[in-house]
Amino acid sequence: MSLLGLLSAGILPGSVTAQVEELPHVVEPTIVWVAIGYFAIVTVIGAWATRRTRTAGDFFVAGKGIGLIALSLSVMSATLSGFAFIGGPGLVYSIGLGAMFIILPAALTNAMGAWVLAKRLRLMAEVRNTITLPDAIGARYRSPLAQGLAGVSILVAVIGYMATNILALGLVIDAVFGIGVGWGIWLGMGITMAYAVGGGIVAGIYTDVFQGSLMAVASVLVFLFTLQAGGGLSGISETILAADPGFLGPWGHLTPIAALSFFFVFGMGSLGQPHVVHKFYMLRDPRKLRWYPLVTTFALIVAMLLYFGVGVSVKALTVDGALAPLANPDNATPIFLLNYTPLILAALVFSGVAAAIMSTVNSFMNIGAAAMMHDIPVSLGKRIDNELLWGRICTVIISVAAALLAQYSGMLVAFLGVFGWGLFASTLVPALAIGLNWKGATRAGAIASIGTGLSITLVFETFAFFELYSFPVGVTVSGLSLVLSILMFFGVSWVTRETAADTLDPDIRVVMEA
Amino acid sequence: MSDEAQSPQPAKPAGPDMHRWALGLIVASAIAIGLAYASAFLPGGTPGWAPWLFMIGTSVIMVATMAVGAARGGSIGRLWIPFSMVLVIVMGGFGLVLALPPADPGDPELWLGLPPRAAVIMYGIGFLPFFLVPVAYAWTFDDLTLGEGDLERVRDEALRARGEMPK
Repeated sequence: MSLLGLLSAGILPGSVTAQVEELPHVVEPTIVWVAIGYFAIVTVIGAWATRRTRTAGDFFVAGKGIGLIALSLSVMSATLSGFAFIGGPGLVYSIGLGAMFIILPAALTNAMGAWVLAKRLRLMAEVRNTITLPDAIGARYRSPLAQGLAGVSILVAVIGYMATNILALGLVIDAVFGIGVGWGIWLGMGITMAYAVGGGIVAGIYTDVFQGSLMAVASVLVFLFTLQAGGGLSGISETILAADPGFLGPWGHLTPIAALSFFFVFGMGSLGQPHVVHKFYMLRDPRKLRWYPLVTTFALIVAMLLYFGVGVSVKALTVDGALAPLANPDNATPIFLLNYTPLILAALVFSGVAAAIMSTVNSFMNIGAAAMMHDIPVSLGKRIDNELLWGRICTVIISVAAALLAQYSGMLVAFLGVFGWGLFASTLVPALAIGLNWKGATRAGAIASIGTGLSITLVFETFAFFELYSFPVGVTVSGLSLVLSILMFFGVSWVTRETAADTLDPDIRVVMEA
Repeated sequence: MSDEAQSPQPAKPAGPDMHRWALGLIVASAIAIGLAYASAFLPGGTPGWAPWLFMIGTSVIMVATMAVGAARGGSIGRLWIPFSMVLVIVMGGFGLVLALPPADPGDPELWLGLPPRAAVIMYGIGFLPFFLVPVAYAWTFDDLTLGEGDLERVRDEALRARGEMPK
């Protein structure tokens, strides 16, 4: 299903992780050698990280020993998937400014995450040695059930997210090496899994630093080329306005409600993305959080320049007749790179796309393994003895399952990718983000909100995907499930308010009052 | 909004309890967003007031959530200044965009290379808060987020709360 198909079905937000359609082949010696060099560097980092990973704490939270720059760049890398470089510019090309509402809240979200979650999670890791987000939910509400439900939600969404990202990685590797999508899936997954199994999140963090730097540099350079090709931003705007004024209207070709819905889901929903907020546990010195929003937001804005620049520039070039209209919007970036940038830059961007996808996949491997090996057993009253070994085994199981899904499930993989973001947002934002900041929240409220998010997302995304029922234009399942889970959280907590005191351990109260 | 009946509590703020207010605003704005979504199900399509309700709801819920996270002992201190400014920028920006007429394709006026309404979205809502909220976070970090010695204090208080002796 194309991005436009998903959009018209009202289910796009969850699909923004990856494209599922084939990319044009760009097999050129320069691109191939840059990609080989990139994979070699990632492998070396993975080998180095493996030597540093000795405990479950190293494997899942980097031994709480990373610095500010590593945190910021790894958050930026994990936030951006291949969508930022391929699907996103294609979406801007298709629907104009409306597509910018997905990334528009970026100036707010990192500071919001810092105020709402970073300090609390880092302090909770200090007093309770929590290593996962469901751990924090379990500790906050003194509830193994809430921890288990959160773990199940994460595992379901992770496998879907991973499958779509691994498919996207296979498509990119096939485009670069011309080895076929099937081999691309297993090569990409194999490399990512190798460093994720050996070096756990330590490997993930430091490959993210490399990958994030690559993405930021490539994005700035490509943005400059887009301005040059389109005759500056004014030239681009004048060309587009003459042919399609709605494209540069404030909502693009979306309705106001649809565009604002993106802003809401991707703004508030950012607080529930486990592959991002989980990294708050890892900062060596919590006082370095002071500069985290500034550094991360700057890096994110820089890395997003390509998203906007390629989308509007390719639109202007097609309006001008310099390029033929695109049959598949996902081709906007590859076609622009091959026609308007030096080959070495195109090579860097293709490696950057692979980098973005691999860093996201790696984060998912880690949190998925933690949910499987730690959160779900703990919720059932069992604790696994050798968490490092089982963490590695679970990483392999999840990775192989996701790769098999990516290769053999056909359209199911697009469906699985649809609900990831929304499921994370609706199940984790109320119970985790608000719950860690409100002592009036209750266990029943948390469980009700997680259950609401899980059930609404799964039921209505399934209905929409199989065209049994779709919401009216502008209403997204992810937006509606997020708002309903928030209301359910407050409503049930209010009804059960007498139990609020019982769900709060004294040391957790100290963390919440800090 | 029901709050907790716990002790010991940090000192109550001299002014209004911003934490409680912010929680109330989150609920109110979630209801506003829910109503805007619900209006799309009405026969005849989304009414004209729905985007206004949605933009107020989504602007307020994000700023209120920041305030809930930032509040210490019910107070957000001088953070009321950047939070108010962000609310004005985001809500005012969306309001401006809804109120301004579309660009004239024949004679387009451009602000920094974009039509005025697009410029408000991109530079105003998308970019301007970058100079406010991350800077405000850094600016108030020591006294409103995590001061020198806070980490040790929290660690010790948590141990005492569990009935253990601090090291």
